[in-house]
Amino acid sequence: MKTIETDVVVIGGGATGAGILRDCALRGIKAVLVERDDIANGTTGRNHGLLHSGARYAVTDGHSAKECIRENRILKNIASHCVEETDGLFLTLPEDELSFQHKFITACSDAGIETQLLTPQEALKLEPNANPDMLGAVRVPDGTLDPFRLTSANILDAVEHGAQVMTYKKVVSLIIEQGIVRGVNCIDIKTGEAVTVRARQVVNAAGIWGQQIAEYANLSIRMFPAKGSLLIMDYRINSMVLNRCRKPADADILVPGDTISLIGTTSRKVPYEEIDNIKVDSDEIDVLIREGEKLAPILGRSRVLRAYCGVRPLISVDGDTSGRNISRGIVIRDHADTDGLPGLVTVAGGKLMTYRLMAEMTTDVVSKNLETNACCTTAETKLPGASKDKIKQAASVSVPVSISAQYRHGERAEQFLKGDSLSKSVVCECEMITRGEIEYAIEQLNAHSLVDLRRRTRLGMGPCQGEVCACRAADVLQETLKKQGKETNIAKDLNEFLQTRWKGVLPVLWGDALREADFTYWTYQSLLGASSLEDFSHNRSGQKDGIQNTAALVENSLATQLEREV
Amino acid sequence: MKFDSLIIGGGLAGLVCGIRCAQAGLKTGIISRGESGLAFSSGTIDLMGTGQNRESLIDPFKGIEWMLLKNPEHPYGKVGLDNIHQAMSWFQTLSREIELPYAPIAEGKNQHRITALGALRPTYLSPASMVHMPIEGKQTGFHRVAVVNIEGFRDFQPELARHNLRCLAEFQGVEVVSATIKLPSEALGNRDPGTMRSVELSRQLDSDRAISILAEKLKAAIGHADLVLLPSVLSLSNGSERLAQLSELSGYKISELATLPPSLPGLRLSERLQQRFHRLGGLMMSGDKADKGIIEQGKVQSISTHGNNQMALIADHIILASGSFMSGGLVADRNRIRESIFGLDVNTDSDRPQWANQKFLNGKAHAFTGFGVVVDQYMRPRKDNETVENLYCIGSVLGHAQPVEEGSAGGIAISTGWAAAERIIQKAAIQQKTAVQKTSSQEEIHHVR
Repeated sequence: MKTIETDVVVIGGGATGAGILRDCALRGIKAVLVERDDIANGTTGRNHGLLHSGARYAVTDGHSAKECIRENRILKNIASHCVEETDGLFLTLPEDELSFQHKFITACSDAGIETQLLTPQEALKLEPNANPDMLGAVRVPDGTLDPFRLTSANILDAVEHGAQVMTYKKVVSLIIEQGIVRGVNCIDIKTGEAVTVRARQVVNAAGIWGQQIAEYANLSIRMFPAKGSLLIMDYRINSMVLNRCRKPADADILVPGDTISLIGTTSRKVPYEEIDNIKVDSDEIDVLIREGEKLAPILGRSRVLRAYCGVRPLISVDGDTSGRNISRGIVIRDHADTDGLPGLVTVAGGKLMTYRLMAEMTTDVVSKNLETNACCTTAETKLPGASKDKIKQAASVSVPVSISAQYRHGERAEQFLKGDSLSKSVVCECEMITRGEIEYAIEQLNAHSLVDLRRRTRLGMGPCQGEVCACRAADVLQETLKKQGKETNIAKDLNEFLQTRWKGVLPVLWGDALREADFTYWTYQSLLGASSLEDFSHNRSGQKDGIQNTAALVENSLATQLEREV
Repeated sequence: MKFDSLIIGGGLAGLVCGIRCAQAGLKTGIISRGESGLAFSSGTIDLMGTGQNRESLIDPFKGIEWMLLKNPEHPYGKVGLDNIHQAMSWFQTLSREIELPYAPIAEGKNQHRITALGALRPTYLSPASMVHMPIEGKQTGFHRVAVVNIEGFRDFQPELARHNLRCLAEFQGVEVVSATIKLPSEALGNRDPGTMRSVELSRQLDSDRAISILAEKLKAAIGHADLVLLPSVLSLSNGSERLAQLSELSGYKISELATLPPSLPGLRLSERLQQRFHRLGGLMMSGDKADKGIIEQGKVQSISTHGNNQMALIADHIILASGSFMSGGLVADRNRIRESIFGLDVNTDSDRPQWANQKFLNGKAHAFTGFGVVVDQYMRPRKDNETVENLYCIGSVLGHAQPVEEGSAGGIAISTGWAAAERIIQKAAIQQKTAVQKTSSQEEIHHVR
């Protein structure tokens, strides 16, 4: 068993957890982050990726609106390589009340959000694919925010400032001694190895899964999971964020992002027990397409690339179990104060947009408890990649490769663009990812598998959904991990990658998506015989048993833990 | 333009049907959009490779018999076992004529093909450039096998293949090594191999000089080996010749593996078949696309194409070889499946959630792979429940087959293509006879007058 000593252990590798880790590291507090899967795998990576201006909340929730616009300006500076300043339009369609526009502009102005009233003609000039039947439009400083890149950049900066990150480590219990929380016990879900992290402060930043962490300490935190589903369109059909100028409702935001556009979201309550098994329903798809077409009619004629859904972590405050007092704001609880249990701090609620603020507020509490008095600097300190320094363009690097690399990694792209010609060969043509970028993501950004690589590089996120690049990247992954002396079962990894891609395609399996799937199926099964590889990865030296045992081990220790608590 | 037989689709099924019709002297045309499924195929011909329990079948014909007991609507059921035998031997004869001989490991027996990922897939016929691996017995007879790539070439992963091969029961006790050889830029036409796919790379390597450099590099990199597995990147048109040359110069037994698409062995077969069709007087309308067919009084009256919409194409017999979803022969709308050119009746009205499995690869066929056109015993389809008299459907536009999981795509293409052609030839002969009789009886009447 491995034991690590630190000041703070952060549970959860979403944007908030990553933000806290960075904030701690910048304040000189020793910190370790544990995450049961990969970074940004939960709610963080399953939303619009919208850089809110706050306009969406201006009429209904002035406080959130103010938070948003403040963070909006901060992120444009500290995370410029994760942000695209597209601006947004709030459209009034024939079925909407034009009178709402006035209310909207006033509320925005109260929150400090700049607006510009446009005629339909002016709006169409800016966004030709917007619905031409609109009655009017208001321009606001919305933008896009890449959650994977943002989380990764926070982690990278934290690690460069001495923090430690451990992915695929599931917390199975809290260490509680004399009524004080002293750390966490984890299990490596890949190897089954037990890992203990002892710390003076434990931060529960597990989002919706935080309820389970609190249960380890017999604390009651009630989450009210609401599922939100989205569709990814095959290409970028809009260049500005499109919203409806009315009270927020289902499927009324269309966001451009990288090479694609996203329409979402729906909102449906789901039982807490089902949060790990949610999927997109086919009637949700109908709603998303129907409403999306109203924002941009071209959407109805475009190929849908995939569908996905996430869970909003709405938290009930003051022990209310009915769900009436649900907060959409930031909730921070020092359990020393609220439950007489020192050593544990829970952060919940909030939005991707306010991850930094949540991290600041949480780290303030932690910092006070640790009696350090270093101040938060995350609002001014730029993330790695955001320096806006132009990197030297090597003549041997093609322009699209260079632009894509810098778009994703900012000035850090220089680290892998200067390699030899082999490292410059393009692995994924949809997203212009080079071999060097893949190696960089494995070596510097803590990617262990093809699925991890997708979150750090957009591998397999383009129109072909990993058809060709999966094999190519598998080869690079195997070679790089071998160099690091790490064991790997690449056939299993490849199948898992294809399966995660399939999960998103399945709900939208018609038209070109089915055509592409037919091609991918043909390639992997008929040409390459990939499913038989899974067979022997099962039979191979009992590896399947190993994994099953690990899962069983995790379940067992969970059960034991719960029994003890009860 | 008027044809005796007009084929929509230039894939394996369309080419086989076209060649057979042209051999019989029929005026034949093929409308082809571009590359077919052959560009994504292994280049071997599967007939019936996998049984119900996912086992590799040794005898494909037995396998077909068993399968038909459960699934009589399968395209093989329309062709019949005797005809499948005939079609396969006709194809083997044809393959020798086009100097790209295809053969089974033994008459009527399946063999294993090694995939680029290092898996084994059962198949029936393979070209001489690929090693024959028996399905029976767990011994390959090899002691040391080398998997070799050319440095920079992205569409083949020797280390992955090596890793997977070593896990196979058949390769226990066999030493499998992988190597990557760096070729000097003179052997690569001064191009960076990291920017080329198989077809481009094959153009660079299609020279005596490149082959001899490759032979030297091979010898230096791998030492002794009973078998060398190379990605298929040696010449599109003269692949077998180049491989034989490399084998002779290096002293290795060499087998090529179809890479990630485009696959050279498939393209090679396509190219040779097109040449043969051309030589037999067939007309290939390449780069064109059949847009619409008009069906009236139970017959296809004419076909209009994208590139030639002024003049409709007319034929006594129309053959639909437009493929499945991948090639655009079938189209999935949001809530239904349809045949794209004529709107023919298809074998499914299931809801979208029933179209595919939750798991992408688990050895169970996705339902959508079995979707397709419904045909009668002569492979004539129906539109709105009425048989279309002069239309025949062949290849993967047909429903009720699971080509990927069965390992049957090539066999279905060849046997349905051949059988439809035979039917057309027969009908054409009868028509001609009637025509001759008519003319002669008219002449008699003249005489009498």
